[in-house]
Amino acid sequence: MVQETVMTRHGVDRILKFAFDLAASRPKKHLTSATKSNGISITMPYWDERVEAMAANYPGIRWDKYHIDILTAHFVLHPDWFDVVVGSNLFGDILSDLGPACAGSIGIAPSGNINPEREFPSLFEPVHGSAPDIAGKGIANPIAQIWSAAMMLDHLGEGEAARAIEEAIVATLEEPRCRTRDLGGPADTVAAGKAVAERLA
Amino acid sequence: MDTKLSSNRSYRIAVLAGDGIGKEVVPEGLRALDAAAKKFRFNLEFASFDFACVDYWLRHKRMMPEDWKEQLSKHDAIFFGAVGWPAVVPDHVSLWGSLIPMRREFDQYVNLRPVRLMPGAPCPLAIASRATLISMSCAKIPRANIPRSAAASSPARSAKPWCRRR
Repeated sequence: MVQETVMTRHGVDRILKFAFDLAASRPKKHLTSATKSNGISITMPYWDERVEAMAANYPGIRWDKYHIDILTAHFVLHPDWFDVVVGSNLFGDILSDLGPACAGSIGIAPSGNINPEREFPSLFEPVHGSAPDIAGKGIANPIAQIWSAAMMLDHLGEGEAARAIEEAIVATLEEPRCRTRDLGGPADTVAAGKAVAERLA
Repeated sequence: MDTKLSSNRSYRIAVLAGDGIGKEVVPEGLRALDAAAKKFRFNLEFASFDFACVDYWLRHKRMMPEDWKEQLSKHDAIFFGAVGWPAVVPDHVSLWGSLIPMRREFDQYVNLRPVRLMPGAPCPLAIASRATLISMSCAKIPRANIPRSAAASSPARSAKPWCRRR
């Protein structure tokens, strides 16, 4: 059985450009590339080569790379080492589950499926799924959805409003009575949602 | 005039709540969006769509209408809940009939996932920090593995960007 990976310069460069631009927009100006060029000996060295080429366009960005195995360990042991992390599909897949797990609950994890060129609408959704086991009970944590709303506003150019929502989320979660069950609190979906909205008013 | 004081900034948002808890958490997302729009003085025009969910599938035996792309293209962004109800529709059918074609057709090649330690969330780690994760794909999905619904309308391209589903 054979399965192939195709990495084109077009495909690799455009995600790297987005990642470097994102890193440039953040205070730490730091980017980490997830790789495995010691084991996956054709596509990943190419990935590394493109990272290095893209980095040349961003002299203000400090960047490094880690093989995916040790990178997962560092996520747990030294999360403060990282700011923006970029990886190809499988590595991003692994890291983006590890990240929210390290942060405590998948109920607060948002995501954006973004078309940076803005030729098409981008899509914002919580990382969690439809959760049939708790559906209809009104106990789901709305924070991931609300944070996804903040990401959407940021994408639309309303950065100030986006940051306000994020801060309202932080302030809400600081209060134990506003936390939903997955965070050990007593609040239901509507109560937690209203608590965030009230802090925005 | 300070643009922040005017209310001429307006965005059209397509809302798809989907299935399960998507239908419960999306209204809370909209509540926050309404509050933010009011406070920061911009307009949000929400348009709800009844597709990309099991109810639509039960009625139409497909996840989205044929002209979904045209309908959603008119909006500035898509606010999505969650899709999937495996007791009725297998996940590979619901996912490949909704989110995957959207990601492909709308060329959403970046999957951005911020991570932030929140004071109220029980963190198993000792060190507080903040990181942002990006996941992407530049893997070409073999044609044979693409369901007809996705393959038929995919533009020819040397690499097929595919944003991952967890």
